[in-house]
Amino acid sequence: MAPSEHPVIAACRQLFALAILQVASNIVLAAEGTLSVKVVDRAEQPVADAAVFLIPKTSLPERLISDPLVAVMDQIDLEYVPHILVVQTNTEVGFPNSDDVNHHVYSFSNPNQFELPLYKGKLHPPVRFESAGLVILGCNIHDHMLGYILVVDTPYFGKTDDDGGVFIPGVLPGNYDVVVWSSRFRDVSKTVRQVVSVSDETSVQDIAFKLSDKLRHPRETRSSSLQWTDY
Amino acid sequence: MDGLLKRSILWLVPGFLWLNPLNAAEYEAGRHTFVSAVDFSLVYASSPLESWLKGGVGKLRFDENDNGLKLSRFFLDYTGRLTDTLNARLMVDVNDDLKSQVDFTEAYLDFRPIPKSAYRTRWRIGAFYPRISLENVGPGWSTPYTLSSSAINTWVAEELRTVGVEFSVTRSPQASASLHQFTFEGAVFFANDPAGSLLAWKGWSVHDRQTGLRGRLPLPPLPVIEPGEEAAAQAPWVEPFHEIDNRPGYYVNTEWRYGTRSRLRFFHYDNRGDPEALSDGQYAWATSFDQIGWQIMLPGDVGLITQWMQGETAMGPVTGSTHLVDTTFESTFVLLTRKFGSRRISLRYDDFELYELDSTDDDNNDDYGHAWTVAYLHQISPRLRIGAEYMEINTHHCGWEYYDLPTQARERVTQLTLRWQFGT
Repeated sequence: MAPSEHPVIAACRQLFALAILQVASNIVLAAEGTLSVKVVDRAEQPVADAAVFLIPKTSLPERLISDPLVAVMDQIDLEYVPHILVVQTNTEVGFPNSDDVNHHVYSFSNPNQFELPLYKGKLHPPVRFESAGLVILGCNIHDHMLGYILVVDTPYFGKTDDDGGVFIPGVLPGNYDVVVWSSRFRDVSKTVRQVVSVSDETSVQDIAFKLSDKLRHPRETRSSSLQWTDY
Repeated sequence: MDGLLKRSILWLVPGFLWLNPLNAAEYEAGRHTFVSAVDFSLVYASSPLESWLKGGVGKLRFDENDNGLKLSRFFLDYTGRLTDTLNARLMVDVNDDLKSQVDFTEAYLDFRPIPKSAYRTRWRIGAFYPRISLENVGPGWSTPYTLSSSAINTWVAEELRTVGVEFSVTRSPQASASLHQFTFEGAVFFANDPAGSLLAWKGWSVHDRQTGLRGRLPLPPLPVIEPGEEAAAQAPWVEPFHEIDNRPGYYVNTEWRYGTRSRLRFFHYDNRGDPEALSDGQYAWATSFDQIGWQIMLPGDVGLITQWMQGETAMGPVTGSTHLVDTTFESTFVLLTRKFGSRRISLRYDDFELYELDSTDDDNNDDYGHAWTVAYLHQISPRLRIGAEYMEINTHHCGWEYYDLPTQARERVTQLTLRWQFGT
């Protein structure tokens, strides 16, 4: 049996190992870029809630740490919240149903069709989306409910804010397609893209998108004075 | 004793729900959804006429003899989930008038397959309201906009129900996220042959009362149904939900909806009644009509709802060039409504007319006039809603001369209603 280490030496050894790991990871992180993407429409108005994601031209290295991929698409006040959710492939999306009523989520969007009853008092399992694509959500009980899940095969994605901007940090150097999708496209199966080359310097690159096609009006909050679906 | 016992049983259900301290959400349990409500009303009516519900000729539900506090309505709207796609729907309605019987207003199966494409299909089988009303979109077929329904929708509640099968297909916006949505609906039904009797013989009304499936509505003491007269076989009441002539009726309905901005409906109804058919004191009336409904958001978050209905109803043997009773009818209303948080204010104008085509003596059916309704509603809490409504209806009804009454009357009712609702 080896003699037990002195506690101080053991602590120093652990600290040294941590330091080596930190430096090593910093060496990798030092070469990641950040993209600042701005999306406007043809009238130069910001387009909020647009999905932005990067498709690499060459395959990405394995992630150092694999995060559990989970996301949430809630049902609040008979609406899907968030209205648009962007997730990576193989993410498990939970549908908690924060309402007092039953819901029944479904989508017939190929290849991610599914249906999920969300009855009160019962556990609702999450849904794993394995294929990239757009998933349009409906509710079989409340006909007006509409939501979107955009499943993308990349860890680099985000959604524009009210100013039409989004930051995508931690991008490894390489060539990418920057892709933009909005629920306001007249054809929601289409996307708009640009090629970008991310350098191996730590920097912020600005990418601007001006959507030349006419967009649908921004989604209105449900009008309060009239009811649109029958009980 | 029998009446007292019946009344006790009658109020047992709402009484239980009222005193029951259980949270409404506990009724959910996923499988059973109950929405129920009790209306406590303070009514002040001003009318020279006795209400039609008492066998008089007045258009109102409550006349001057009813002024005061009353429990004006109880309803229970139940949805039972039989499978993921099949629901059972039941609606029980209790009114504090007539024989106060507990009755169903709707009882049907609602089949909703999960859509596999842009086209969504639905089926309803049983007894239910056709989708005519743009006002009565709440649980228990209530309107969230006012206390009383328009003249058109009041008549729908009095005499119309689909007892049969309805099929509906909607091109949903899911596929292209388009804001345009189109629905086509068709139904085949029985048991609505007497529909039109109350309209032709009482005329149009404005109130909030719904007829249950076993309902019996009194007719005024019409000369033409007196013994020995031409329609003496008619009982002094109408039971609207009977099959008299073994001929099914049909309706078709198309709707174009644009997001939450506009909703436009075209409805055609024909009960294909055989006007000469008679059974147990109820005639079959050949009733058909067209109906257009439009709901649109105006600037300033003001909502507009309008419906127009025009049709014809006839019964009895052929006499001359028409049937014994043969009338055309038409009504329109325009409703403006605005919600301010939990409060709402609504204004409605109704125009109605019914003109006879027959020349039967002692049975002048002409009925025409208009009504104004102004309502203020306040959702005080999730369960309590208070409503105040003033409604005035001005009618010319030629047949009132048979009772030595003036042929014109203005009837008014001011009502304050507290609704206590359970469930959502």
